[in-house]
Amino acid sequence: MTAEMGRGQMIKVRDIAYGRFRVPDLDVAETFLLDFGMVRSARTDTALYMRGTDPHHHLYIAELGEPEYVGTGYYADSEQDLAIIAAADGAGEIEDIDEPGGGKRVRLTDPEGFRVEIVHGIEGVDPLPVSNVFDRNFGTAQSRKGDLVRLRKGPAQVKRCGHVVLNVSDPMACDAWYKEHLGFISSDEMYDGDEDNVVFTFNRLDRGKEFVDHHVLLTVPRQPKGLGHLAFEVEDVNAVYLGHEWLKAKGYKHSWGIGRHIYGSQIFDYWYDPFDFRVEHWTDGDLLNADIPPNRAPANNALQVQWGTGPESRLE
Amino acid sequence: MIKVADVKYIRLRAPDLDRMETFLTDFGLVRSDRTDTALYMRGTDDEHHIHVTELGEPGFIGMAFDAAGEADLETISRLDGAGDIHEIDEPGGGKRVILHDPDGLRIEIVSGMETVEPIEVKEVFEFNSGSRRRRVGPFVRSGPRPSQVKRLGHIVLSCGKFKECQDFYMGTLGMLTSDFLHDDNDDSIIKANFMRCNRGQEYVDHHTVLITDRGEAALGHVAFEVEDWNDLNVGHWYLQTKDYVHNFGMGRHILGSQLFDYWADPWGHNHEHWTDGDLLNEDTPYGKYPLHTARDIQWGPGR
Repeated sequence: MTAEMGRGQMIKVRDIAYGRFRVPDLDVAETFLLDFGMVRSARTDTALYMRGTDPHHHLYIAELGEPEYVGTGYYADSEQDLAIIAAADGAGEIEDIDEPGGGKRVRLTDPEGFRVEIVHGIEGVDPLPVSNVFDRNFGTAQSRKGDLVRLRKGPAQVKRCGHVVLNVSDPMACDAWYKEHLGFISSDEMYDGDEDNVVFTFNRLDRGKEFVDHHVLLTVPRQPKGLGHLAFEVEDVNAVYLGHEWLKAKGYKHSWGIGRHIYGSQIFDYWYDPFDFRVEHWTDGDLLNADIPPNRAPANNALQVQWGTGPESRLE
Repeated sequence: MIKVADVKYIRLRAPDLDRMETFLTDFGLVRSDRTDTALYMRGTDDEHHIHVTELGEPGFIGMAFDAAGEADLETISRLDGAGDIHEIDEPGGGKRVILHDPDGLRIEIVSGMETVEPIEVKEVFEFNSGSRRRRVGPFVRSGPRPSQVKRLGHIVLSCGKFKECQDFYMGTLGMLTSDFLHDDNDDSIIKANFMRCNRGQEYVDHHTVLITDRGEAALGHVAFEVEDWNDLNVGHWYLQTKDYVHNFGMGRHILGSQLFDYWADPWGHNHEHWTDGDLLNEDTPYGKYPLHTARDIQWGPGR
């Protein structure tokens, strides 16, 4: 299963890069994203580019316009891969990116109409210092001796973009398209009733022996079509909780958490931005490499937790 | 006088040992022994018991400390008001000297108790933080189940004779102050004292006994260490499915830095789960803070 059955797979992307949104007020978007723990990388008259602490130029783009989730950027491994993907049906030419950070890009459209941007050569930026980093004392192993935990309150510093969930009408067709074009592989295939009736899949990157997040993309059967959520990694549970309290104090709308997912094991916290897009803080997820075979699990379990409260009713 | 090595067990009284055992089992302790009149519960560490409940009217009888050696039993037994060294006529055996703190609380200094085989701790996971990946491969799969209590960590006492109690725990039992807490409006009035054991260069918990000046002697709470934040959460959501009273948490204290969660036993004795506390040794200087710092938290819901 892992080789995805010789379906003429095109490239294997290196990682998710950014989500591209349209929103009617960039100031409101920027204020929320700062409170959510991102940092401004660039801003033009018509677009906002936000970054995390990792050395990527941006992981969130907001263009001025009616609220919409436009699509998702992914890093190609090489410029050669841009040439390969440019040969896909419906793909655009390799183009210079006319945005802050530059680089080159090929644009595609997935079967549900979401834009997919395969990018390469976007400028890097210096990583930002991460605060509130402490070792931990477990019952079975103590590694923080003499160092007292004293946390600075503030937003949860976002490290990087981790995964996207898209609400679509035909998830398995969409899933197959991503596997074929971007080289994703299944971590958990979720079935309804019969075990062969897979209705959606947790996909990860195929980086060979290298360990990657349990999931980078899910396309799930849910209407209306649009963004399910976009998820950002933070340092640890201290960051998740401090970030939660920061957003709560600012009066933003909470969605779900704090809890621990089963599939991927992340400790999670979901919030709505001012335009009703859902974004997630997470930490401590499972890491897999390409040697780990896919697992089958009942779809009903996908929203269950190892601990924490169940999902808000609008997600059930 | 002596330097106690650690707190050993708490001794409570309750009118229904079955009910206490059910609570403590749900809380994550394991029965070590039980007689007609007393219940002895252990953790995953090798101590024979860390929690004793005697049959009777609900109450807090006292607590025991580990002597650093049998010679310290001799030393402490010579103290005014201390009893003789005697064999402990209870499961686990060992030797003991009984004395009382200035508020009349029973203090047992023990040595030579039997140990038991440690219980394997389940579901121990490395964690992947943003800056360090340590769990590559194994998935976290945990719960629902009780937390796994490792050991007794500390006891918090309200004191009637606060100054005398400070002298007793620091002078007689050899504890060190980690943090003094002064009156919120007058920093010359000490209202509470977080004390740790003095084991020299070895690192120990930020507090083993906390005494607070409340004008009256009482148990504040008794606190048990669990494996980690995951184990603490698993236990929290397990206890949520039962009919127990939740007191406070989950959150992160400032002084001691522990992640905490407080639950009442069926008679209202406050039991804490904690993990990831600060470790200090004899060289760590003490701190001084306003009293509210003991109630304030780094994160979590307020009281």
